[in-house]
Amino acid sequence: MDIEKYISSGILESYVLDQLTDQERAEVDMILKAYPEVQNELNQIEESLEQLALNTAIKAPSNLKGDIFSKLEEGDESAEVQNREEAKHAPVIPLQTVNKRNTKVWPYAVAASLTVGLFSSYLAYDYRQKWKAASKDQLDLKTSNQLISNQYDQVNQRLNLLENDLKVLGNINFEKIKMNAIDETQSIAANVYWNSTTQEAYLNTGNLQELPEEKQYQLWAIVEGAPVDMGVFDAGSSYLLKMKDITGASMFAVTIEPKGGSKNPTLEAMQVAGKIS
Amino acid sequence: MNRDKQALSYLYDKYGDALYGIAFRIVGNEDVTKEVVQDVFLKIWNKIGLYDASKGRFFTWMLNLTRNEAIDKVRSKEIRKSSKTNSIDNYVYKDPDMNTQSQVESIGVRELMNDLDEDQQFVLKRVYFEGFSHSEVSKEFNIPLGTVKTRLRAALKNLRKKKNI
Repeated sequence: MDIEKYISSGILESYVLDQLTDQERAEVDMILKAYPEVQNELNQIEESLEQLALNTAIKAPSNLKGDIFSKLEEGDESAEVQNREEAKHAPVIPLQTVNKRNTKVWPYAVAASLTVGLFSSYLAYDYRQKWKAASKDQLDLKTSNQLISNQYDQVNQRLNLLENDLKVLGNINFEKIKMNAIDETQSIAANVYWNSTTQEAYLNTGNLQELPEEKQYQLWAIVEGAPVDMGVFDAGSSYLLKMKDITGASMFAVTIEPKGGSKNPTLEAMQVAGKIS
Repeated sequence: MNRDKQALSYLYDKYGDALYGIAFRIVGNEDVTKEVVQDVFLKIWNKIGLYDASKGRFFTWMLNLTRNEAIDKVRSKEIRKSSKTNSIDNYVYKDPDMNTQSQVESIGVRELMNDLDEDQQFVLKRVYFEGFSHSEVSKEFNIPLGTVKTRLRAALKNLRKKKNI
C-alpha cells in the first residue's frame, strides 16, 4: 500500500473528526494497526487538533463549572435513591451498563489525555505480528501456486510431445523401419520413422537398455554403403526422438559409442539394425 | 469530593475553555453554548465507559462529543424556530461567509489562519469551526468530497508546521 498517498488523502483527519461511515472507520482501524507510521500520523493529527482547540479556547462563564458539578450531585442523589429502591426488591448483582460510570477508567482517561495510549501501541504490535503471519501464509500459497503452475507446464509439454508423436505415427508418409537385435539371443528392438520426401526422421528407442554414464547410443543411416551419423541418444524416452534429417537411406543401425558419439560407427558394438524394405 | 470528581474537575480546568470555544463557534450563542458544555461534561461523567482508549486520544473523544452535541443543539433549535424565524438557520447554514467573519475571526482565530491559502481557510472554517460535515461542505459549496478532505488536511498540516501546533 502507498502509505504516503493514503495519508495525504486526508482520510485520517476525517477519521479523527468522526466523518466516516462505519465501514470506512473499520478499514482505517485495520490500517492503523498494520502500519505504525499511519498510527503515528494519526497521533500527530490528534495532538494538533488538541493544540488548536487549546489555542482557540474561549473563556467560559465562571459559573459554568459550578453548574456542572451541582448537576452531577443531583444525578448522584437520584441514582442513589434508585439503587436503594432496587436493593430492596432483590439481591441482584448490578450489571455493568455502559451508562454506569466506569470508575476504573478514570485514572486512565486522565493519563490518556496526556499521553498516547500504550494499549493502542500494543494492538498495533499484535496486529503487525498477525499481519506478518498472514504474509507468510501468502508466501506459502504463492509457492504452491508456482508448483502447480510448473506441473501444469510439464503436463502441457508432455501433451505437446504426444501430439507430435501422433502426427508422426498417423502420417502415412512416415515409413516405420523396425530395427532388430544383432545378437539374436537378445530381444531388443527399436523403430525409426522416416519420411523420405521431407527427409525427417524420428526414433522410438524401444526397449534398448540404459547405458553407463560415459556411453551413449548413436543412430546411423547407411547411404550408398557408407554410414552417416544421425545423432546420439539415451535409452528410455517415452516419446519419439527427432533425429537428423536423412536422404537416400537403405538401412538404419544403432551402435554404442563413447558419450557424445563417434565419427565412424564401432561396428562390433552394433545393437540393432533394420533394412528399408 | 471523591477521586472521580477530582478527575473530572481536572479535565474541566484543562479543557473546559477549549471545548467552550469549539461549541461557541458552532452555536454562536452564549446560553446555548453553556448548555452544550454542561451536557458534554455530564456525558463524559456518565459515558466514560464508552471511551475506548485504543480508538484515540481522550481529547479527541471529548472534541467529538462537543461537536456533535453542539451540532445537534443547533439543529433541534433550528427545527423549533424555523416556523418563526430563520435566524439560526441563517447563522450556521446560510451565507457562511458573512457569519464567519464575525463569528470565527473575531475570536482570535484570524491570526492563526493568516498563513493558510483561501481554499484551506474556507474548509477549515466550515468543517472545524462551524461544524459542517465533510459531505455538507461538498454538497453546499460544490467541492468534491476528496478535495474537502485534502484541503482540510493541508490546513491542519500547515497549522501544525507554522504554529508548532
